[in-house]
Amino acid sequence: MIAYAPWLVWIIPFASAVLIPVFGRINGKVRDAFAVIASGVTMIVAFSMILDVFSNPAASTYYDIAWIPFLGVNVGMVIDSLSILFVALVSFFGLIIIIYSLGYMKGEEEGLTRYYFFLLLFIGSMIGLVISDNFLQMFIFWEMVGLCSYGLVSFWYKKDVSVNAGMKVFLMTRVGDVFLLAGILVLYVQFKTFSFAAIMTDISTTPISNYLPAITVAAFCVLGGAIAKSAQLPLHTWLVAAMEAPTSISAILHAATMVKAGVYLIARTIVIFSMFKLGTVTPVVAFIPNWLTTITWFGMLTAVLGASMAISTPDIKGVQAYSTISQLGWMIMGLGTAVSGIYSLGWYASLYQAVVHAFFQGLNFLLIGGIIHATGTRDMREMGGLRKNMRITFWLAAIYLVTIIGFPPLPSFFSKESIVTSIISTGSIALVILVYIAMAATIAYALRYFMLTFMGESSPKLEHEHVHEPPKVMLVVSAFLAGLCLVFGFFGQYFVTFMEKVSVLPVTPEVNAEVGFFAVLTSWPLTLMFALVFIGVFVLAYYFYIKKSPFMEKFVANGAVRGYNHILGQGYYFDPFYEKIVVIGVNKFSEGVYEYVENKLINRLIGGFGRVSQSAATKIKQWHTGSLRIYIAGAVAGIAIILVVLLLTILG
Amino acid sequence: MGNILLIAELLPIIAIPFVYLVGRKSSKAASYLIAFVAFVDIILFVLTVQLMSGSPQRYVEPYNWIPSLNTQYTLFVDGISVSIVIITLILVIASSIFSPRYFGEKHRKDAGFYTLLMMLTAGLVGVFITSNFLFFYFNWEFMLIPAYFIIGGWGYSKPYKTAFKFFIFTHIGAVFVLLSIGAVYLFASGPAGVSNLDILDIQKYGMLNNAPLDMLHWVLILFTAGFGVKMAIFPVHAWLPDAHSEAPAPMSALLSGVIISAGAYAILRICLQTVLPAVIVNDKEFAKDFLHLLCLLGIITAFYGSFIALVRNDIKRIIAYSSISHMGYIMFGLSLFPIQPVGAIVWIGITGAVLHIVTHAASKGLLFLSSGSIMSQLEIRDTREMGGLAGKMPWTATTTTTAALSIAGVPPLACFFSELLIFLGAFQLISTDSFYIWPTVLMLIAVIFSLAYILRFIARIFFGAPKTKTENAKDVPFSMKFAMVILAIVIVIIGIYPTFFIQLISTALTGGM
Repeated sequence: MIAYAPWLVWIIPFASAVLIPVFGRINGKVRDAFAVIASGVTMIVAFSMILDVFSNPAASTYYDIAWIPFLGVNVGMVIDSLSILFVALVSFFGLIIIIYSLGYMKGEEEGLTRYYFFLLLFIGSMIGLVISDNFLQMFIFWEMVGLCSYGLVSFWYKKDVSVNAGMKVFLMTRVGDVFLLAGILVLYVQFKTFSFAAIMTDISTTPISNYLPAITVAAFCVLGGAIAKSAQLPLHTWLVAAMEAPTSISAILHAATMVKAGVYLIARTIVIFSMFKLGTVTPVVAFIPNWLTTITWFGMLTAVLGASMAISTPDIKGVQAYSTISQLGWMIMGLGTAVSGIYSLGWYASLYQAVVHAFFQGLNFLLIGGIIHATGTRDMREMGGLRKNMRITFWLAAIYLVTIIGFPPLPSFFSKESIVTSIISTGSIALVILVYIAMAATIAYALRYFMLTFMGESSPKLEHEHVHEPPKVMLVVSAFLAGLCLVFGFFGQYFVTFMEKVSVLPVTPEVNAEVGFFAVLTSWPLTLMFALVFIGVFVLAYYFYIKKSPFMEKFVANGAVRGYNHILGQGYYFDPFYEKIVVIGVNKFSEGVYEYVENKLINRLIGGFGRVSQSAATKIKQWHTGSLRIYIAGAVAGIAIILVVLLLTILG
Repeated sequence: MGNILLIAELLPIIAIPFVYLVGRKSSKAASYLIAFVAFVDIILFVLTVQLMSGSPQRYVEPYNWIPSLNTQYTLFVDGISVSIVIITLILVIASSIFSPRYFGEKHRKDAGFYTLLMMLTAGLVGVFITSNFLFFYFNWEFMLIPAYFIIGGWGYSKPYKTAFKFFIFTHIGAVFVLLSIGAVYLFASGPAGVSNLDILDIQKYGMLNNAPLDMLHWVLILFTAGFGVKMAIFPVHAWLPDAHSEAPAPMSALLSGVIISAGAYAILRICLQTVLPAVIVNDKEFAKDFLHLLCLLGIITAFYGSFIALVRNDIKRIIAYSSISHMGYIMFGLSLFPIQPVGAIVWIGITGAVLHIVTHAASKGLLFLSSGSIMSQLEIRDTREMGGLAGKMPWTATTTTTAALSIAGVPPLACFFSELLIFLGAFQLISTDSFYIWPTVLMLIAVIFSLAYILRFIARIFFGAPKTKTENAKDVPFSMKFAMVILAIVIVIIGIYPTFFIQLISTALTGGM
């Protein structure tokens, strides 16, 4: 490890972000080069810690300095396989995206300083989030990730859509942040600390009845935070709006930063709550009523509904948004099965899925950036036949396609089949059926995207466009990611070894044998099931999107299907609900408060008070006639009254 | 060094005539003089931190005033006053540097404004460091008068009418305060030779413990009502939107930053620390109900301000209503006052409330200065006519956004930590007083509304396509940028390392009462 690496790895991007405006003053080229170097150095520092995790058999290592003594809060970094996994992922994608931006963001000179500033801050915040060793520090970085996404999604700040999208992203994730904050504070009140390590110690050394109510509340609040940040139902619509960002930003937002924060959070929380209950070998997390089941269901519903929306949207970036929502659902549901059935398989599988998803989703976004640039549209119905003019992009997209579908031995085959195994092992029939629906829908939207864009005849609209390959720098970066997609599947075993290294999840010996991805390969029924699903969906998609067979047309024209399609088109009415009812409702209500309470009640009361005093003054003024006799009479009467009162009080 | 507080108190007063003389020649020089005086004062106050001792930690300087009446003029500081005074003086520095270019060529030789500003500073410093009720009241009114003339003389539309409203409102509040002070004087009883009007002595000897109970109730309520007006708590907030939005920007910054927070300070210092302990001794239930009432007022105010800030269009009125909302936060924080002060942890909420005074002062002060920048450059104030200023006024846009996001409680900016502490205090209290469950949940929801109006505010002004009136906008001159950048840096520093203030405030509280 490079000295002070756990600090440097987030301080370097932060400091570089601050320096970006300075370099921007000098020259655009210098600034771009600086951004590349800064993210490159960050990546080197980050990767230097991987070996550390491998070589250090001891438990997690912490690096603390005092920060707010009054609360007993330290600034500290934790190095264990979970944090380093994400640190490596984020720093790697940071570099990839910054290099890609050199090509992609050409011609945006005006905002580039701001762009690199926020991008580096984004990378730094996300690294800080995953490497923090206490909840408070993590929460601060968590919020900063949201702040940076706001800045980046609103990149084209002159366009109202971008601005509104940025506001939506920030506000909706804020809802989750408030949940998370509440959860963290509950934990603090219970354990008098924010530190992961201290909470873990406390959990494993005190009777469960002491803290179970608190951690139950906290666990559900934390889940709320993860749901918003990881774009799970019902707070997923911000991710769709976030498509207004430059595509490079979408790529990093989906692949490594922001949405993966929720996955990390749940994974981390499970680790913290996986300490054994005092005197047993059962992890505490299993005692939190319904928590894991709730997680599984949220993930499952998101996976299914997200995939179904991805099938229907015509927007090429919209497909990716819903695709990511659905894929995140897979990860979340996997995490939910972490201690049920095959012990802790879900946890490993989800994190593997997180990495794999980063590779193929990142790859696809980079390709889509080129496609949108070449075709000048985001509507897939106006594309088609792109394989002719964009050969390299086409082949790279084909790699994306087989990866997301999950052909063996590509990595997502292992991750998905492991998650499916984990789901099956919970023994819930409903979940098993749903997970296969999700799998079929995933294959369907991936094929649809690929067929509409690359296959078939090119649409008439494209005739006037000069469809061309993107610049070399963009292709090279994409090809690199595609390579990773192809080979990563062979490293599954190493991945598990790495994640196991500091035994973040207590793995008992009898379960240990079942963890590991190659175990899945041997279970041929799963593979067969996958093959059947794939063939079925492929045939349907082929006749529907390529052959455009009349039977399928008729099927779509059917009333029920049309109705469902309409609902899909509205995204199950989530957005209309938020926009038409919540936003407008709050606005109307606020107008009402202003109109009726502020103006008609309070201001009128005050005005009335003023008027009353004024008219009283005019009335009283009339008594002051200036006539001496009346004044004297008044004075005498006054004295008389006082005397009477005095006498009465003295005598009485 | 024995007279350090007296020097700090007298320095701004002595400077008043000099500011006038200098101001007749040049506004700029006068503003620098004010900034210099304030800066020296900051150094003096920072030095007093070393002198604090005892438990709770404070530093006291008693001076005999009228020995025959046994009245002392006692100056004191503890962590709370020092924190608030420091941020006040920082705000004074920023406002005074900001002023000359803000008022423009017409006011190149404007002795009046700067003299009044210096007087206001003297009054503000006095309020936070006197422990004698009479002098406290004297300073309390003393800061009102220059504020009245500044709003009246340099305000926007119908300035004297607004100033009148401001004056009458806060003056009615002050009458309540005066009545209560009289009652305290009558009913406080302590050891021989101790003044009945000294806040510290009343606290130390529990001098109100033997006062008639219903009288104590009234004293508590009247004090709170009086200070509540200054703090602009719903439903006595109506003076604030007018005064804040019609006052000139530097004055708005001070008004919103510290003058209304002085109400919060007074509620803490007088109602909670001085009167409430006596009530707790005699009637715990009433004390509890009183705190619950504060809590509810805080919530209503917080929501009320946010709702209206969400629909107003006038740039300064949005910020003004946001101030009302944040006074609600502070009130909510103050309501977390522990009935049974056991251990340091029960003081987290109050620490948060005081820290929020500090952080809100910096953030809101900067917001008002920035809105002044925009108004002075564009000469419009309706946000609907603005737009696209991010590219035209990048410095103003950056500082404003920093301040605005701080107000919304986004880390790593100042207000995040104060809100965090307030919420932590609230969660802490839930375990002993279940009343606070729903208020806390509601306050958490209020945070979302805070962000909503702030984002709308930013988007309206800085984003979107430039409109006809903003097309030729230019950024402000250097001195104004400088003033804004000072505050922005303060906000970021407190946001990253709030420990200095948190330690100061908490040592003033946790020493035991």
